[in-house]
Amino acid sequence: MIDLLPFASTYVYSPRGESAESVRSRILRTRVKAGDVDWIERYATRVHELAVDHGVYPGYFGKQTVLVPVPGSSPLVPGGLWVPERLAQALESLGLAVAVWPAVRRTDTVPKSAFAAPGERPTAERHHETFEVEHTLAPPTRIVLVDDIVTKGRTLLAAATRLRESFPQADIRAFALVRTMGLVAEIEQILDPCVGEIRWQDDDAHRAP
Amino acid sequence: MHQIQIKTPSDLLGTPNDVEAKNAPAQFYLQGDLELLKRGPRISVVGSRKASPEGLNRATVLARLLAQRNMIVVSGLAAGIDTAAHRAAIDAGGRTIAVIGTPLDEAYPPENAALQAQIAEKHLLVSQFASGTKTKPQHFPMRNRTMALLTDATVIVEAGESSGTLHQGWEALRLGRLLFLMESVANDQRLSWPKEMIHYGAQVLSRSNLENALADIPAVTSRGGTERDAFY
Repeated sequence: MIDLLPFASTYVYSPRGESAESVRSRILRTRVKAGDVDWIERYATRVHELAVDHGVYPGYFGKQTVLVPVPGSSPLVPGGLWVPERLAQALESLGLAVAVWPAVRRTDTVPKSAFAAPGERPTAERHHETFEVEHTLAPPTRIVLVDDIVTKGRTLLAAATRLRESFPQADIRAFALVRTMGLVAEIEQILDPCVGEIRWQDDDAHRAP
Repeated sequence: MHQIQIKTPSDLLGTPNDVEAKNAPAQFYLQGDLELLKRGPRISVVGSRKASPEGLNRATVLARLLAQRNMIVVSGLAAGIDTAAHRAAIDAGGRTIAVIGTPLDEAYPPENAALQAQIAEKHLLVSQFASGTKTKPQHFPMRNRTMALLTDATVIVEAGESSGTLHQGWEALRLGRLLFLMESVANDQRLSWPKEMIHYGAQVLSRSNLENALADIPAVTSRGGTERDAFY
């Protein structure tokens, strides 16, 4: 695994909190998971505003950036809904990138984390084994992996490692629209933009913030 | 008796994305309590018409459990698993939605006419076929795809290699909705379809993960879009 992956995010989501804001964060998560066209466009517009008007995400978006959507936990059914790809398209259409490139593919299924017991959730290594990267003769100089929701960051780290193996010269980063706040009882504000990192340490991914 | 109402997919789901729009009917005919389409999660419990006694029992136990958790049990009012699921939900004091392959004023199989009337009166009956439409075999798989569209998750209790239920399983996967296969059918070595569906993301539902699975079903079909929640 690569040691460090620069990572950025816009919203936070609480899986279990009971405050009004935590409950609202789950509505946001549901809208994103549903591939809701209207809401994804609105959320992408907010990302654009933060990036362009407020300079919140330096080095992530722009005319050098190619967005690579992160695969789900299983190979995609032909014609199936792929939310990170929808999100990447929405960001690209606002001018935050030069292209969307579905370069990483899932070759075999891994258990969905939500339904696996904590010790049985797929490891970063298992994600890595089940990813393959499309070849190109003209590798991008900056790749931003795009995911809808990040939890620990294992999937992102494994996908970034695969990309680094194929494109050692590229600047590789990750953007997740929403980050899960599993260890915090309640969240104070859904909109909570950040830049941080995902580190590989003690055989696991560690996300900060 | 409730009046028949006509709604579009946008009325019921918000603007459909193109994956949802692909197989969505132009309109729905509805009779009963439309409030059931405003909340979730809604879970389809579906399977064979010629079900085994064990399969019928599993459908009954699951539908009862869902009803006790205030989840809405959706099925197709066919013989076998569907009938068991509707009846168990009603008997447990829960709510149920039937998505049928005939117009609302016809019943198939005819012996379910009374159950269909009860659902139209106290719960919700849905069809994509206008009154007077001649029922054709292909209407039942169309109904199954529509059921996948209207529900947050589908559970296949039991189904053979050529069961119409499989259309619903594949449609749920295509729509990005949760698909669960009961462990007994997932492990049935005589069947090839469970392995294929698991490869594409179907989850195996067992006693050990049932609690976790039911606790985390996003209500994507009632995602709504009220201005009160218009944060972004």
